Amino acid sequence: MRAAQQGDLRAFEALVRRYRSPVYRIALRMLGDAAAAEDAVQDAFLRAWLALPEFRAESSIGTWLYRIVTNRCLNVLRAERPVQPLEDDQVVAAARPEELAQQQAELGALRRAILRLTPEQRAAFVLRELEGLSYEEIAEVLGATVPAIKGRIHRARLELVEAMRQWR
Amino acid sequence: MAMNIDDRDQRLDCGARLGPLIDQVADRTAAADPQHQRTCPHCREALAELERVWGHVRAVAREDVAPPQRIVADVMRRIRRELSLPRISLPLDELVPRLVTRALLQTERGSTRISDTVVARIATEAALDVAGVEFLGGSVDISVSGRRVAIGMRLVVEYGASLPALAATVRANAIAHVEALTGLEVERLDISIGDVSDPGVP
Repeated sequence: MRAAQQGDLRAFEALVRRYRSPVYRIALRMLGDAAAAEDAVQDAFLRAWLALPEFRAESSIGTWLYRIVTNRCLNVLRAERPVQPLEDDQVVAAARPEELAQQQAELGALRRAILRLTPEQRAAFVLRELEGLSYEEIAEVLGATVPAIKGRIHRARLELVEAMRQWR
Repeated sequence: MAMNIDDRDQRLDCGARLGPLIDQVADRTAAADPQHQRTCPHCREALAELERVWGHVRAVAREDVAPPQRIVADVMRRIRRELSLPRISLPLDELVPRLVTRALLQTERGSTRISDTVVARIATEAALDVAGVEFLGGSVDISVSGRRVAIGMRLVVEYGASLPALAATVRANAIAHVEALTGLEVERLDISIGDVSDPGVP
């Protein structure tokens, strides 16, 4: 192996270290399953490595990585019938005092509601509400216009408010 | 199934639309009509309910979901593996003469030729399957005469392993795979260990 490639590998490893947490969080919240999220993260970084020569500094490297992992997750979701992950909230909640149990149950309901959003809405919602990206950044990650992204997020929010209302 | 979402963008009893209130709470933007909101009981009730829901959203956002420690090592292993695989995307005119001179298995009903790329790829995969092998440096050298083959490879291995033991395991595994899959006879497999990876990297 060439020295330059070795150096590239070390630089890339530093990049993986730096972005592993947000990239993993996005995958986990998109897919709702830890093992699937881990696979998606590995695939995403491998793709990023292979595509690195084509990366141009038009967007930030973070935005670029978010795009790769989000697309990976969208492809996984489109290819497979959605599998509802097993929820153990009820089991956990039963062992807790009542107020905490209520809180836990509502958080569980919210997580399930997020997983019922369409993949496209979920991607936009996760990037906005859970990762705190701006509308402009999300438009870049998802390759859509800012108004389209705003519409998608707005619809996702309405769905969730409705879901949480029914739950009560 | 696909309900019209706008049906749900209801108006409150005071006439205010729910949608803008949701965005106001979620994006923490200023109220469109602060004076009305301050006094209207319907708006205040809706806003309190939305704050409660968004409290949950923010709680989910704050949850500590860290990736498993090994994820960096796993990613780098896959990349190194990718880099180690011999390329077979040679142009055809380059590939054909090489094929003609490679390992030859004669039978009564015809001959089978196996290129050194095939032998190198099998040996590489078998070597990478051995725990402790990080990646292969450079290309795998193959020299063939008839059905006998000699292989040379350079390894970069994880820090901490016994190198003679690791080399012996790699040798046994690679020879077994090449012989089982190709029917060739591996006369020798020379290993040079070029480097060890950084110690202490999780």
